[in-house]
Amino acid sequence: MKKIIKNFDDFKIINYYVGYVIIGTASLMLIPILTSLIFKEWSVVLDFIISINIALTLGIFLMFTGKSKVDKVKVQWKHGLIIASSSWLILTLICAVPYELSGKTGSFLNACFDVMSGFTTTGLVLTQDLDHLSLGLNMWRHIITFVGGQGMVVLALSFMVNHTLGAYKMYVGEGKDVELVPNVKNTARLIWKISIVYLIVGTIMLWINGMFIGLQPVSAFFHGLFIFMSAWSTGGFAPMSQNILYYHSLSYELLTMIFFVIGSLNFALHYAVWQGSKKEIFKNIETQSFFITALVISFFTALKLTNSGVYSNGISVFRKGVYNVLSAHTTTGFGNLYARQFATEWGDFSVVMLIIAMLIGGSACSTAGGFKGLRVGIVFKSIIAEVKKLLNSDRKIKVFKFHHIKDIVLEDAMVKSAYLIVTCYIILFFIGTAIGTYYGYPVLSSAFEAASVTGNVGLSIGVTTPSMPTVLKVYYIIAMYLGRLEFISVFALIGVTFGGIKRLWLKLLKQ
Amino acid sequence: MVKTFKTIILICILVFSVSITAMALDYNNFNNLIENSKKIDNNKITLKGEAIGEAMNRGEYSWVNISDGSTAMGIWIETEQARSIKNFGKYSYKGDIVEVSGTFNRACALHGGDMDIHASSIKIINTGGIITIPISNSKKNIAIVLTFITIILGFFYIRFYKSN
Amino acid sequence: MTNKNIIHGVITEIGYTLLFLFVLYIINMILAR
Repeated sequence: MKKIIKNFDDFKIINYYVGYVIIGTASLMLIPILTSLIFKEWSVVLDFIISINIALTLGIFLMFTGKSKVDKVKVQWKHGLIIASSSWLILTLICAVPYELSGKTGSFLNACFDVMSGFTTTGLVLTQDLDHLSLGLNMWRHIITFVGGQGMVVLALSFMVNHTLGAYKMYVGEGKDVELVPNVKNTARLIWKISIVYLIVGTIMLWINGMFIGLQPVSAFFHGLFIFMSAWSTGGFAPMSQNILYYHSLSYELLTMIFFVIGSLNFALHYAVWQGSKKEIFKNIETQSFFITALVISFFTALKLTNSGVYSNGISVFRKGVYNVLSAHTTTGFGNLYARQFATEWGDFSVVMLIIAMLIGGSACSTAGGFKGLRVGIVFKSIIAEVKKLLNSDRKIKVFKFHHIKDIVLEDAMVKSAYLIVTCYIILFFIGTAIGTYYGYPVLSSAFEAASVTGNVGLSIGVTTPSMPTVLKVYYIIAMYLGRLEFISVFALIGVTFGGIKRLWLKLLKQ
Repeated sequence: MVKTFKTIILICILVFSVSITAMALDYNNFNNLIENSKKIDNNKITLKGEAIGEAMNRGEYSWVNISDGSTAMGIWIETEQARSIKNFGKYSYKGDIVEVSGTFNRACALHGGDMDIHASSIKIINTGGIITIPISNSKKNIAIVLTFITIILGFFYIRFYKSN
Repeated sequence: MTNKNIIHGVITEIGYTLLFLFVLYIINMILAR
């Protein structure tokens, strides 16, 4: 009897915080409501009013069931992880409601796909007719990706005044583990401060540039805001169906490159640099790793694209080749090519280069996806370390170090954890490729799309369309989710769910 | 008599075949353009689409993106000609349907590899305008009811826990 | 983090990113001749 009560307590604690996260995120719906009100998109206002009410009702109800246990039950790791993973799932369903009500997505599944794509800052799109989308819904899409990049739990934590005992565990559940300052709430607030500062700087720069390239002032503002939110969160959504190609502008592309590269950097790095240690940019293992891999991949891609004559001049190779390599590597997903052009024009080698770039990904504790530069760096250093250990005499004990904000010793536990997560990503990638080929897509295209999904990138080679097989849609949603939360919190959720079902089943059998 | 007949038939065949070849260069489904880009590269084509977003003035020439309903294509066109497009597609607006004749570029060297069409002439086929989006009554009612539910729940929550 | 730090930080990061992009651009233009 005691055990059953304890189980309910677990649920109550989880419910309370999940409810809190839901209310926090759903409140953001006020922004599209305001936008649509200003621009007289009345039908959209109604869509969002309905959606926000559903969300708030659910959130209040969940908090209601758990309020009595808050501060009385200790928040353990299992709670924190499950709070993160389940709030993401529930929010995906809730935030899909405005899409569904707009009628621009073929099915609720497509709407959920787009929301998960937004939260995970992937950027693959199933919504149709983007060019006629309401300002309110476009605002919502881009807010989703902006918040998803930072994290909905991070958003909620930055507002939490009390009940913060289990905060770190929820924070880690969402795929970050760096503490900028000892207090998680303040870390969350710092992450937001950095993002908001860049939001202001970036939007203004894009707004001004937008007007220079011929956009009207009001639309230049919204394009700037949306593109910034998408660039910083390394999301890849854009307000128009042609993505970045719509602008036909080198200067606009350049600005997006600046912001998506900076956005792919570790928040701890931003904090360190803002505190004054500029050298961190050079010494950090992730920037070093990114610099090397980005350079090498760009080099070979540019070489191949030039030699095979795909583009006729250097600036085209830069704007199409290097741009897309960086977009892939930072897992942004901004594109200035039509998806099918990767398949029909680039040739296999360059596509493989993009796949590798997408899988490696950006920095840890950033908005980027993929294996992450930190793990790639650790994996490489550990290989070098192992080789050196073998070659050295047994009496010497060598300690290998790397620099990530501070000097860190390359310990076995750390190396093991890096290999584990990289392996999980690789498995996710291969399953995605296999499922794609099962449904008849060519191997390289399946691999490209699978890498895009696994690394939360968002570039497409043409597989992602509303007519793609449902199984593939569902798999992509799951893969985006697993990739973004870096597996652990989702595994915890699955484990507890199946454990609970097993226990329930045994209980029923016993009676 | 027979000779005249033969001439007429010959002329009809000629006219017919010329118009077929002219039609073959019409690409109203832009996906065909993309899939066959290498073949069509540097050819003169005609295509039709709805002008979307806005015209981006870059001096003597402007960019206008036109959409076939699902994909959009960039048209590089003289600013003077672009001025004839009055309506652009966005939410609750349908843009002018424009027929463009020009040279297709798979990876335009002038424009950093963009796939585009350098227009020599355009024709407005249909003018666009406002589309009224109806506000469904059921949505209005559901919205009002749900708002009440949320407010009531909110009150309960605050009062219940204030008293504790 | 004072305002001055923030401004310095942002300028530093944008500056180094531009440098990085410039390096890639140079390499690209050399390769693409």
